[in-house]
Amino acid sequence: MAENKGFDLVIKVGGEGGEGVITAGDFLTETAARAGYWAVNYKSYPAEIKGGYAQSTVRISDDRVYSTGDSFDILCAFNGEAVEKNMVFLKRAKDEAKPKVLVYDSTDYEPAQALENVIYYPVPLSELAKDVMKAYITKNIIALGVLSELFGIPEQSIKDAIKAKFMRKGEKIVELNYKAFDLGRQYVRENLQKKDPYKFPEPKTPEDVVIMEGNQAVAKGSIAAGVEFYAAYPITPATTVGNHIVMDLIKRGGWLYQAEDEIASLGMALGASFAGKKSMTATSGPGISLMSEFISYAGITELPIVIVDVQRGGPGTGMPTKHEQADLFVCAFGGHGDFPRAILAATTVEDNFYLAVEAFNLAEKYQIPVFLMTDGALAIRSEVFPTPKIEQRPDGKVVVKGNIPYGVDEIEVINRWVYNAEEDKEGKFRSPTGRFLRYKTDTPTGITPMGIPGDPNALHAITGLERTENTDPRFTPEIRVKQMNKRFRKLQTLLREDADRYYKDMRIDSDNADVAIISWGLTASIAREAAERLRKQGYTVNEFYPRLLWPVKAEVFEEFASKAKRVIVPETNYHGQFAFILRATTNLKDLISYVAYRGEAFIPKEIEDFVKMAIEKDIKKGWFTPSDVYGTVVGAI
Amino acid sequence: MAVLTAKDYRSEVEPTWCAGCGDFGVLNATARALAELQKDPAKVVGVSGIGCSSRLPLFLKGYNAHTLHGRAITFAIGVKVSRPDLDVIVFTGDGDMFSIGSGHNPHVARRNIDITIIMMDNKVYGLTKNQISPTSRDGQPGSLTPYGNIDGHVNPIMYMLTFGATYVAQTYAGNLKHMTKIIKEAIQHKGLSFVNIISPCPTFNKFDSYKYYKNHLIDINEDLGHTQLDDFNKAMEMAIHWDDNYRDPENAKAHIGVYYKVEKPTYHDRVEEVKARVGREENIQNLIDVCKPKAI
Repeated sequence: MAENKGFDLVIKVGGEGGEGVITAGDFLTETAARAGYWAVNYKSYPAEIKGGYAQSTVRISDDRVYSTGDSFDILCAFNGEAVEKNMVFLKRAKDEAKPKVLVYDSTDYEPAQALENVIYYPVPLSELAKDVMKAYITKNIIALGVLSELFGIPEQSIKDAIKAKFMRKGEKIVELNYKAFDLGRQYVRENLQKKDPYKFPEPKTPEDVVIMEGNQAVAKGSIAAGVEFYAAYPITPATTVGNHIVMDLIKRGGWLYQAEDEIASLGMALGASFAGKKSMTATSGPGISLMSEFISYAGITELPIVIVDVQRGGPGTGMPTKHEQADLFVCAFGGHGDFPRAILAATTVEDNFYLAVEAFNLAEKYQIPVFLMTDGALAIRSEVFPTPKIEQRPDGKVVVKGNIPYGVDEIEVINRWVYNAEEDKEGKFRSPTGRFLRYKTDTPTGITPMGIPGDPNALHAITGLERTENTDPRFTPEIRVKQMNKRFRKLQTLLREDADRYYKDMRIDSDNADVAIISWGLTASIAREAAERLRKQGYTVNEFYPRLLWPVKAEVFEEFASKAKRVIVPETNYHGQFAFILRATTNLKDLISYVAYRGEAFIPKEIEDFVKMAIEKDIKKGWFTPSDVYGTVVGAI
Repeated sequence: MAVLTAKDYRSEVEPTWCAGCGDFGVLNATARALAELQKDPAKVVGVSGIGCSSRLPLFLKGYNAHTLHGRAITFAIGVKVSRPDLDVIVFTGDGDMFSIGSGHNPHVARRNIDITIIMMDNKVYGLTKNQISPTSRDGQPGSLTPYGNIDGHVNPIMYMLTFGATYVAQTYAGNLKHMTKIIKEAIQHKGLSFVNIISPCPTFNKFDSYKYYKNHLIDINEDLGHTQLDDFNKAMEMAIHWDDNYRDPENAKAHIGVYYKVEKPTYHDRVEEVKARVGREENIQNLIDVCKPKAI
């Protein structure tokens, strides 16, 4: 087993969309899982409907890793374009310790010159597919055979993955693909001499794992939470949350309704919530903008609702297929007026699963709009992670267990507080004339029971107008202040009772660390790797990856920050939105914003190099981008 | 359960409408219709948008939602699709439904969602104090168009017929009996029912007065022999004549009555078919475990 330790390999497959590039990446991911290793697979689809450049970057490792690293070790290029697209990385090999490997389709491409520290393996992939297999469609499977033979990727594990994919189509199709796979292996044996050091270790007994994409994890988590109604309107990159949830939802007795627009989506989801159902919608930035009025309405009417924001590059139509974390402001501050809300943000696909459950819990417990923020890169990235376990107890209770990445043991699914006249014998929630007091202002938590249609004892109206305890519209200063205080008391309760469970992903190396990193969303998973590298180089690094971004429990951040010489907040938006919020809500004014807004995630090296620069130059505050580190326009990528 | 009377469907909240507002009549007729049907107030959900007419659900006893301008239909769909056991009635106005909210009309109708839409058509924005609406008459002055309306109008009946509503009727706020009958029918109708109620606004719309309608109303079913209610072509032909009243308000009649009534599968019927076909999964774990590498 010892030789497995530290095994960490990044294979990138690139080529024309429709040539099976993404499928090849999926096969490698599944192969890793079947061979007992972890994998993270970042996919990048072309923006075009058909054709265009697609790639899949699969990082396979013995210890779990959460980013796809700085760059690939092995590039499998299905065409010349894939080589050209990655030329910048290949050229960089000369400055790196490890060589890069280029496996390329020699039918389509011949390198002009040999780059330093790059090992070339020409394979006529197209020719083999066309002339030998007589089936161009098998090109990606031939390539898998090549990769398997060259790098020792366990044959049986890949073949099992191939069989699992094609067995539905019949034995003949499975055999055809096995043949293509064997052809790739045979070609390597007969024509190539291994020159690189990369070797996949022996397969292990596989762990009990699942492979999910980010949006799929949101869908599955929501199902575990007991969602009953989902209103959908197509928008990249959020649409596939709906694709993944629709059939599960039907099987669980619920329904997905495809609305006519995003305004309607949230209106419908809130209607279902009013009717007593756990309800959600998922969208991206433009949809959030359209939903703003209803978000505010959910705030004043105190309807539980989960809104998933799969962020894309903004503003306007922006860059729909690109990564960015620039919707934090709109989720924290969008919608008119003051009202309580909560924001959770996922750092990995695995997070998406568990935070979906948590988002419903917060929405149902506090009767507020809850945002689950994720992004386009997480949406289509797939991860191998330990299988979540759902315990459905005889009393109806549901408990979610598993390797919950932010340090809690289990999540008990919470349902809203529904009024029960039997339990209210003394009439705490009834007026002297017997009317139901939906918005009683004197509960210590600010939370009051909901009346659900069908119950004769809780008749009431809801309105977006300010209202009395029994929901009659009224605007007197006294009523207004009491109702506002009631609503915001819920947030104080949340900070007191629930915030800490989202603040456990914190590591303190030293009370006077060289640097403290606070990060959120996908960037957190990249910062984590940078921190680990810095630590190996002798720096003391404190880390904090909160999953709850709003409201902010100031003292937790203040105490964390007090234990380091400087605090860096890396995030992928222009303003440094989370740092901005922290400066506004805590006494931390000297935060260092480190931002990228090019439509791609950071790579760990960019954070690592910036931290070293900040230490060296004794930077304590300000706003920086990778350009400040590398002196180029776009930074390291 | 004791027999409920119209009073039992009214909340303690007193209406804030101007004296003489047609919406009082609509409220009375709704309460009467519900009483005649002996609906359980706990299982009736009224949903409205914003505007004078949209205050109506606040005056009803039951479960009611006063939502956003133009969005009542969306909220109502959420209620009905998730809780088909409830009777859902949308109360809206001409601005709420045919201006800001018009984008939702085709979709609620084509899907034949089993809800009732009652639109109080006073041909003016009242709550914001006199602006012209999509159903305003030519030349009608408004605070933003003091020179008189030059915008043209929509014909709500034709629109809703075209979009696929399966029950379409028009009635008049000054005729409690006719209104109650139509609202009752609309609630009982299985599928999307649309009732346009001519509801005078004595404060801002001086032309469409009670006096005017007293002299112009005619019942298309009783007086004009429009009785083949499942004939779409005949319904459209009759609906076209609503435009006559816009073209020549002095001489053309104002129509009330049922234009169209047909039974078609509702959205919910189709949902049930799908659910029966797909089946149920009691064990959530099974839905997670499909993400494991497939056993071979």
